[in-house]
Amino acid sequence: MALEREIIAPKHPVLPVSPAVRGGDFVFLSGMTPVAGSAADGTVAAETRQILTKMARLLEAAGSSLASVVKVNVLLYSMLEYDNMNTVYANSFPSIRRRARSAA
Amino acid sequence: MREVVPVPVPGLDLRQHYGHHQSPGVRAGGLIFCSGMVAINPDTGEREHGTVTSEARRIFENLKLLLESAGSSLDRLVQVHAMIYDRIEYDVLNRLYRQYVPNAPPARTVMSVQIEAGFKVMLDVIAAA
Repeated sequence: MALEREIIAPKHPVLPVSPAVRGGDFVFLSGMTPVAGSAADGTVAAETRQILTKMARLLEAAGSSLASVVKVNVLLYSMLEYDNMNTVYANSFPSIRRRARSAA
Repeated sequence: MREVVPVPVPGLDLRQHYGHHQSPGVRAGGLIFCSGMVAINPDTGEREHGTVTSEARRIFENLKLLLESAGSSLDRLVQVHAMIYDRIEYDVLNRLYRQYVPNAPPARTVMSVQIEAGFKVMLDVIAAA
C-alpha cells in the first residue's frame, strides 16, 4: 500500500506549503492566486487567466497538464462574477473544460 | 475500491455524537480522504472551542490518531484545505501548522469561511495511505 509521495516544485520561501504534491497517480496543487501587484491583479477574467496559465506550467513541471485535470475547486469573492470566471475558464482553456468542478 | 477507515477513538465518531452522516476517513485508490475535521475531544466527542492555535492543535492531534490508525501519518499528507473563521488569523494558523508539518509540506489552500458550530478552524485533508 506504500504510495510514493513526492514534492514536485520548489519550496515556498516563506509559507509552510508546497505548490504541488504527488500522491499516487494524482498531483495535488495548492490554492493559487494571481501574483499580487501584477498586471493581472484586478478583474476576475484577468486573474482567472493568469492562474490557469500558472497552473498549466506547474502541472507540466509535474509531468501532467490541464488536459489531465480531474477536479478543480474555484473560489470567487462573489458569485456575481461567476460568468466572468467561467467565460475565461471555458473559452481560453478548452483542454480543462468539462472537468469536475465546484465554484463557491 | 472504497473502504471506510474505522473510527480509532470513540470521540471521533461524529455520527454517534452529533448524528453527522459521515465517516472520519475513506480509503480509495491508495489515498485516504478525511472529513473536514474540527476540534473535538478524542475521548468524549465534546466540542473544544478555543483559539485558532488550540483548535488547530487538537485537530492535528486527532488527524494523527486517525491517519496512524489507518497506516498513514501527518508526514504523508498530500493536500490540505484549511478553513479559518477570519483571515486575520492567517499567520497564527501558519505558526501552529509549521509545528505539525515541518518538512516537505502538503499542497494547501486556506479559506476564510463560517465554520459549523462556531469553530475557528477546520482542516479537510487527503493523505497517501
